[in-house]
Amino acid sequence: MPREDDVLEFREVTKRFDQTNVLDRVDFRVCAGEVVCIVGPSGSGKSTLLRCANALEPIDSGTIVFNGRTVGRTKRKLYKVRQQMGMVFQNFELFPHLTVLQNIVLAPRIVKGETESVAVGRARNLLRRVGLDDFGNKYPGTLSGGQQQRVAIARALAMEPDIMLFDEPTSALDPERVGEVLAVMRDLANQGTTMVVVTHEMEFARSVADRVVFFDRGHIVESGTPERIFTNPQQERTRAFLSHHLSNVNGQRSFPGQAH
Amino acid sequence: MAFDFGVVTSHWSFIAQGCWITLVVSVMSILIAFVIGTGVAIARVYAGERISHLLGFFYVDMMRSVPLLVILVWVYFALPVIVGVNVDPMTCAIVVLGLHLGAEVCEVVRGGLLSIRQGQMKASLALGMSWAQAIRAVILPQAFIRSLPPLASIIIVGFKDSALASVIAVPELLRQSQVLAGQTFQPFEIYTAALVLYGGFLYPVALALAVIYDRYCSRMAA
Amino acid sequence: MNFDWSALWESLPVLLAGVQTTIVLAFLAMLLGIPGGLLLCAGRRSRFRVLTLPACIVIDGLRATPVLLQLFWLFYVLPLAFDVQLSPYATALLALALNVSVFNAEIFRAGINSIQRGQSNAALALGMSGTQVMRTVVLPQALRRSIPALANIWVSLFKNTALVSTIAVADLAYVALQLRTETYKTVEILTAMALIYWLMGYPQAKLADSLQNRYQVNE
Repeated sequence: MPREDDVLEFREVTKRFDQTNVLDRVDFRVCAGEVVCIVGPSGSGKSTLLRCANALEPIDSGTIVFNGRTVGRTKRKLYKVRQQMGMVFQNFELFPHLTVLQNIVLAPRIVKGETESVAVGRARNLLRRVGLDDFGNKYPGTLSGGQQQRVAIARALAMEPDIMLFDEPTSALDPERVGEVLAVMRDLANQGTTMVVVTHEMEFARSVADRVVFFDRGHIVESGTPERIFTNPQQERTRAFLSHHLSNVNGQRSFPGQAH
Repeated sequence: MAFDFGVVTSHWSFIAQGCWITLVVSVMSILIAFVIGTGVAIARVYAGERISHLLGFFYVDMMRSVPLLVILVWVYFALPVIVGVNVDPMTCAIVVLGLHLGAEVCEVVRGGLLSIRQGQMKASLALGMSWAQAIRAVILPQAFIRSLPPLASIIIVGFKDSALASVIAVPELLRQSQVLAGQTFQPFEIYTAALVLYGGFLYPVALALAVIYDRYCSRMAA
Repeated sequence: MNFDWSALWESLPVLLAGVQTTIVLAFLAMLLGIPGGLLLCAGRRSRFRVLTLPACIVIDGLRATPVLLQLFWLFYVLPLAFDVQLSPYATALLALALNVSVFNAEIFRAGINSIQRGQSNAALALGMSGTQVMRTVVLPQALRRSIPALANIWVSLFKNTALVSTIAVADLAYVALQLRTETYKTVEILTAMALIYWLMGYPQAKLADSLQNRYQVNE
């Protein structure tokens, strides 16, 4: 039953790589303002789910609906869809030949045809928002991983997307750099941004997510509020996964900007 | 043995003409090489296996297997007989030099394109760019920056190869030197002057290209 | 338009004699060019300025000038300046060998530099002398690493041999251009020449590619 405020919806989506179903008839929806964290073992298909959402990977069957429109019917619409979805990658994927500011300004300029001054103005605001005011003229190669990822978030936000997709945004970072990126994401969530976050940061999922989805072997095993998933998981697989991962997290790390 | 370099200064305008033609032929053919080489490289990387093989076999490998002199002579003497159209030597030289050098540009740029991580294309598409926009604004500039050192040597090769145009009587520096050497019977002075002119121009150019890369471009490569 | 391809059969022995000259010339030039390259490389890396300076001038000078001009220079200047009479063949060989030495020298230098950084400290720590390290550890690895680049040098050397036709050395290009003026069968002769070069050059280019790929995996 589609609801009015659904931003993104997967209907029985199947995606195969070499005979194995990476996504196996997945039903999944995100409504406006919701923060959904997807957790689960490596290689379970979580990242594929995100890449299918904006058609970076073609799906084999099923339907993906974004803002009431089916994704991927024609090429033209594909670009439209991607313009309204921001994506943040595990390896940042900043453009190394452009400065930080140029990285942020590029897509609004050439995709939306914005004027230089409008795009630069917004870029500077976004840089302030991610705490990198003075970094506009630096090249990505001179930044730390955490700084690069914050720029990548600003770059995605510059397109003013309706939803932000985060594909393990902290997995490639040094441990001491994870906090600064999560703080920015927490800030976004607090401002009502619609977010889907694939992550291994259980503490982040517990404190920020409206809903946590446990994903394994191409299926959504269970989904619910953080309290339900983390304190009272219904499925054996979820319990096994969480008991392993939560023991690594409990009291070990604390993040700046985190609500205790 | 006494040498008299006065012969060089007394014929300076004849030599300067040759320098000018050398410059025109080189710059034009290098430009053609970059346009064609880049285009073919993009086609070889993105237009599928079949097209890549065809372009590789009929263009790149052919240019790499056959001496420039042979191609030049064939296009200048044999092609007009086949198609029935005469071309002037200068145009012929520029086009052949450009095509020949283009094969090298192609392989270097192709290597650059292939070395760019897949994620860069994905990130560009995720920002809503079209395939063509991503290649133009993100992938190709990076491929060029990474390939700059080999591309710089290709530019130097382009200037040096222009000397082959003398074979089909294009009045560039080497050809003018030959003519002058024959007229004045002072080949030592003339050819030494030509050597100094080429070296005095190309050595600083090579240095400058290296400095430009180190100072402005290496920080953009990652 | 009618082309008389059968006439090619009569010319074939002449063309093949040219092919032989081309191959032998390329082979000899490379044979001289490897020790020549090592020598120039050693000169450039030497501690003594008397050796470094001339090596640098030769290397950078020859790299910045066209081979064709170098060929003419040697052809006209050697007899005049130094009173040496070399045959066109010997002049051609000298020019090609010199040119190839220069490019080899730069390849050896890059190879040595890339090995020396890590390996020489390890070898020095074992108590070897500087020359021992160079001879037993650095050079063998550097030469191995230079193989794909040398293959590329060979491919361009082989093509550069066609330049010697301009000083009347009877290589493939020269005999073909002579045949053309004798027989007026421009299209047939020149196409045959291009085809023969292609038949010889294509496998070489492919071999160079495969060496490149093979050695890159080992990195």
